[in-house]
Amino acid sequence: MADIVFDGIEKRFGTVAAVARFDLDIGHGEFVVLVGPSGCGKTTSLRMLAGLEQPTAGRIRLGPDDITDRPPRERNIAMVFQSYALYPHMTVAENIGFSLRLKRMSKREIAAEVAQAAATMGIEGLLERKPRELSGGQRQRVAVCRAIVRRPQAFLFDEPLSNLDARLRASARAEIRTLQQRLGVTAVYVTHDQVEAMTMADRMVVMKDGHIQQIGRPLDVYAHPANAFVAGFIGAPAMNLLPLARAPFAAAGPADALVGVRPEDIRLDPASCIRPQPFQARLRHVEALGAESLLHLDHDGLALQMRLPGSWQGAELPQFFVDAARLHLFCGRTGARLPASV
Amino acid sequence: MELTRPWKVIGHALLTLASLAVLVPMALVVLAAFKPHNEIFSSVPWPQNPTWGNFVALFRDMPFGQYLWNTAGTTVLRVGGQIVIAILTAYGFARWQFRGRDVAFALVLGAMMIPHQLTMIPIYIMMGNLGWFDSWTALIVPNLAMPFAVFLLRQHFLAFPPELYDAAEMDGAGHWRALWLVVVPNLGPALSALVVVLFIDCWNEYFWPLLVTDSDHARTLQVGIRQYLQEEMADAYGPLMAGVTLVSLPALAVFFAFQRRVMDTFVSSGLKG
Repeated sequence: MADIVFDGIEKRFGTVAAVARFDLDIGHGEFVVLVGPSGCGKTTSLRMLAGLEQPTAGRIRLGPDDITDRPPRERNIAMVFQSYALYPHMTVAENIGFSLRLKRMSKREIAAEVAQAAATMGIEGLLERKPRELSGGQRQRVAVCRAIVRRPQAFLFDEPLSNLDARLRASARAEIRTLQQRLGVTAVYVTHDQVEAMTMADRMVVMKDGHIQQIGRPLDVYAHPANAFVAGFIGAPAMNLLPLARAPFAAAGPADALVGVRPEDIRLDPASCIRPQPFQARLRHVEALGAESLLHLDHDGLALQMRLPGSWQGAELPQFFVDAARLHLFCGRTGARLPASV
Repeated sequence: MELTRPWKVIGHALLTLASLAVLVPMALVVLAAFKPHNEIFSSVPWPQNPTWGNFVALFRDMPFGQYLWNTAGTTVLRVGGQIVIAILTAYGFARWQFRGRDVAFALVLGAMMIPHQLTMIPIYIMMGNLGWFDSWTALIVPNLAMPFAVFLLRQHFLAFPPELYDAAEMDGAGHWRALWLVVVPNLGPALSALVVVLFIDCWNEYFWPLLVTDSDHARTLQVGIRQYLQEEMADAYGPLMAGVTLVSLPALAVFFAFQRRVMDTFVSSGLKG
């Protein structure tokens, strides 16, 4: 049985539809990531689940209960905010224990719960500090701690890693995922970072302009994007999307179609392709990343990116190949995936 | 733009003159408070035979203690009431969506622009009808709603990080507890600045207490000193100066203690609004 159900949820601000016809079932203990560019409606959807925004239409269920009209305090949902939203005038311990204080638990019980939650996140030594005395990573841990101390039915995360540096973000991703699995609590996570979505999600929901573009497991979405937007958004570097008529390699499809090829599906060795298609392109620039190299190619004004394992040791004018068995085709008008795609 | 040296000198000279224009009369009042009766009109500004006699006379010859109690009591109650009402009203205007909110706020702003003197007579009549003359109630109640305080706090509520409201709601707080447990404790600088301004405004008020008080029972220091000295001690300028010195001290102390905070608050409310 689904733990959280969005049933035809819509949110309009005046004439603008921030979220349109949002249907999603989230299973118990599942980690679902809403991902999309700024303004796609992912945070609005999360805030409606939290009770911080009221949907214009549709219902939201949590377990067996319809919670659409309940205020946040009656939903048993905890949220970690992008800015962490720690109360500046309270110590870390007071921040973590605030929700318990509002439930009128005794000071002893609160202290015990706070100590346990702090131990879970390894922040026992910070309990008497004020938020301004903490680093970004420590604040993020306190914010997570404040969420888990309530033992909620669901965790909501609103871009909680966006204020951390890249190195800390990588470790925090793993930490949040491990914690969620250990606690077995359903989690809904919002991010604009497709790497976070790919690495953390059981399922991801790709959104654009208030509409769901695709729901699926990360590797399925990556391998079979539902449309050109998803193809371009998921994957770093993004999929190369070219008008079929101008593509440097042959592909079967309508004349106005878009053909997509992942950077790793452009090869130098035809033996590594099932159906190799040779093409010529000018090498404009190489980004050496150590474990891999990104080659920026140009064919008749069309830019392509290619990913190679290791460092680039190639010739000045190499021959490139695409694997025709790994091309993606999208309708040039609607962007929808065409059946001829892999 | 960096000022050149001559302009800096001219600027500082003008500021010094303006400061002297304010400080010299104050200094003369304080010095006169320590002069014996026969030196009051002496051309020498400082007391040649300093005395505490004028201060003693204040407490001996007039009910100074009663006036002080009336002033302090009504000031504390009035400023406390003004702050509570302003917090609640400003929070409503800043955080709640309701029909007619903008019109209501425009009316509050409009009330800021109506001179107090214009509403004094109707309120004076109202006080009479309610039987509140010559009481603390008349000094406190008509002044509890301060549009200026509502305006100032609303600006600060609007600038308050919205995620903190959201976090408080997620933690289980309703509007009431979010306001008093999360928002107000973080309004320290704005609130202390407001307290200073309201305190000085109330402490120094002369005309309204003059209108609605009629006896020592409710009379405040500002009115009491003037009336008592005018009627009972017509030429007692020494006690008058001693009284003025004492009356000025709390307001000055409060202002000097918080002056930086007051300036910061008003500057930031203008920028953030």
